[in-house]
Amino acid sequence: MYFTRATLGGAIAAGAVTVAAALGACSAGDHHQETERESVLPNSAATATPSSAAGEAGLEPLPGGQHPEFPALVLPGEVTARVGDPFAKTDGTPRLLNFLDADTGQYPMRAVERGIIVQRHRRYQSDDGYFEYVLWDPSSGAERLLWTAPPRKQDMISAGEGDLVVVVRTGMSMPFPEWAMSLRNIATGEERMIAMGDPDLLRTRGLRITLPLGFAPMPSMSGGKVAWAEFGLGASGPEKHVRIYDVEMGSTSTIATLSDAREELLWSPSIGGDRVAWFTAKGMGETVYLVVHELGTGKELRFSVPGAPFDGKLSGDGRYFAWDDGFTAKYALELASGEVTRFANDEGDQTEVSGHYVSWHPKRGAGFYDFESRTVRFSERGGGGAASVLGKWFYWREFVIVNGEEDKTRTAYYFIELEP
Amino acid sequence: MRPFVIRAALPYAAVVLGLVSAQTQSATAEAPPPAEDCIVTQYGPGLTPTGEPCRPPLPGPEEQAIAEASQRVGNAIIAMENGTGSQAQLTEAALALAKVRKEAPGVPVPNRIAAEISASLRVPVTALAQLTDNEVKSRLADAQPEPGGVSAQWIPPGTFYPFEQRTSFYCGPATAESILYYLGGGAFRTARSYDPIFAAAPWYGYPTLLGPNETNTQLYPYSYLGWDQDILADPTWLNTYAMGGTSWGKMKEGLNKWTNQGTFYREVWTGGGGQTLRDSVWPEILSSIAYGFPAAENVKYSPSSYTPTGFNTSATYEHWDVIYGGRNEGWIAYIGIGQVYGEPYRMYPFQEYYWSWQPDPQVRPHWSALSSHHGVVLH
Repeated sequence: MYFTRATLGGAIAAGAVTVAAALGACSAGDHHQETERESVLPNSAATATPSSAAGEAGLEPLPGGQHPEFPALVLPGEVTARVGDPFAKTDGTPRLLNFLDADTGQYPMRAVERGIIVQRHRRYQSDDGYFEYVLWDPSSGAERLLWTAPPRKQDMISAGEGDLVVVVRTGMSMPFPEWAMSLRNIATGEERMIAMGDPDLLRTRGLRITLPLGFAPMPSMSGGKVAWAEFGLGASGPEKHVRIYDVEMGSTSTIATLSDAREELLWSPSIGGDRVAWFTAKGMGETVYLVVHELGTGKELRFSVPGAPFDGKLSGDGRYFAWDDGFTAKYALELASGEVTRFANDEGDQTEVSGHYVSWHPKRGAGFYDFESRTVRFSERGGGGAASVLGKWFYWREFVIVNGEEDKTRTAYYFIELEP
Repeated sequence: MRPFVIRAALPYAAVVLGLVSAQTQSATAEAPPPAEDCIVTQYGPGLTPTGEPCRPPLPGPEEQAIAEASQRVGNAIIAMENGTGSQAQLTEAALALAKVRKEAPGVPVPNRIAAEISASLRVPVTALAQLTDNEVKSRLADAQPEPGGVSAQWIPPGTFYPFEQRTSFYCGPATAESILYYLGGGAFRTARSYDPIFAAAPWYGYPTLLGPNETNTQLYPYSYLGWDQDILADPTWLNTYAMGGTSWGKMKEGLNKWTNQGTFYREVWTGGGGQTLRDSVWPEILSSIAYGFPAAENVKYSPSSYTPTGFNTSATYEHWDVIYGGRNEGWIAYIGIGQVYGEPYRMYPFQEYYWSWQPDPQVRPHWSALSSHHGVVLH
């Protein structure tokens, strides 16, 4: 295992918080240090504390005519965002080749202050392939190897801040029951384990093992805190928790728990500013609620969300929440006003947030939406099945087709700066 | 997804069902030796003792002959779909396939072609095998194929249902269950099979193959209800428990054992394959579907291939799922995938993707997921 006791001092100095030098002394048991707080699920048979009303939550209530505790969001039937100019690559657009050679694939995973972390899949067509992680500078093209994952393990990096990234290590097949989550300082190489999956969950029947990552969490990070959801085995059965890891304190707390994860659902937690948001429902086919939890006060605001929300995330400052509705529409909610903007349709699915931008995984078209200006922009040439906001960048992929076949030597990701 | 209707193609189907004597020929070539020096790992053929990636043995002459004959059938279907083929070509291709394939006539698959032949020739399905060659020819001459030619090879919605994987690493058992249920798991139950058919609820509440609780609970400590996927994960069938996943090689073995038909399913290795292999596998898939056999595929969805809807673009997934159809529109081909991941609340299990490159590509074709992993198990 790659747990280390070394410190991660100064790791996110360039981020939203400053981390003291004494981040070390962490242990693999850190994830058991739970500070239980109030439960958040409406009418939950679990550790339920009734939901707070909107007015008590410290958040602005929605306009009248809606349920005071569970205001229903009104979803526009068509795109209401301003559509900005389409974008395209130019001769000077930084690019990253999709294939380094015939059997090595590349993928831009995560932006950090020093550049982009690129996943390099060596021998990707073989059973003995493996992954390298490389820091790449889009401006200069310079790169350096950060680390190499063990054989038949992959590292997913969905969150980070400053020089810190949150790495979720899994195997190669859904539902990824044996996962491990660590903080890694890419400047120093130091690493700290913060959570891991419980393989005993495999004995549990009736859990809803869903895409996109099954048991493995997809953490987010803001203000020196990491948020994620994970299953656990409770006294009466499988539970699901929303966890918060405080980087400076080196401790984990639990802000929400489902007492029976076989019945109730909770998914897609994210953190932005001092807020954590997630979806929950009492069961399949039941009303879906968006829960917005204030970390400072523990108070919450809930919205009932029509449709079939699949994946959602808070903006970096926690003022907005964007989600993908059943792969068919993309919405952004301004939490203060309750106003919902539809910014895309079925161009893709899922959501990726960076600061005040959000994008999706493209299937029919790539683009990004700016929460602040309420403007969406689309690529002129689709998205090549891979596109995302990454820090100050947005990238998309373009294929080169020659005589009806892909020229893999020329397929590339192109990067434009969102805020030069 | 548009509805797909099988039209015409009756004469060749009659041949395939064993209504001609050519199929009595037997192959004499020996199969290649098994790759005994390969160590089977969790999901694939694994490594040789020297650490080199294993490759499964090449198909023997008999299996190669079946593959080539299936390609001819598939290519004839493609030609008819594109308006350039003829029924005679299809019949000829089917005749060649019947010669190399040694199936007993009237195999109990839900064979749509058999039903159409029966209707066209005005003979019960059960009596088809008793027709003489001359009777077949005579009745075929009188039969009037429906206009429009072959449309597509697609197992009709309403007869095929992907089973959501129950837990853990069960994409293999779920894939096998989806196929076996479609083929009629109860009809194929042998002395070595445990399962009668009971009602249960996988995708959208359709029935599943559910075994008797008391037996299965004893045999499978992880099983509290005796799900069929647990049974299929047993060493007798797919060996999924022991290996922590379903290895390449076990799917074919398990499907053929369960159906007690040693040659129902065969393997086509696609790992590392290029355009030539892609273009030969496609008609084999269409042929398998046309005969009523959904195919199992062992794929790798990743940034170096593509990720279907709902899968995370950042992740690499090694996976089993079902191919239940395909069609051609000009030079663009589409493949139908029955997905065993996810949940019906948010994800429709019937998915359609490009098989070949299209003029304005937004995603890579599905072949990229096959060429970067293992292959297809088909009829």
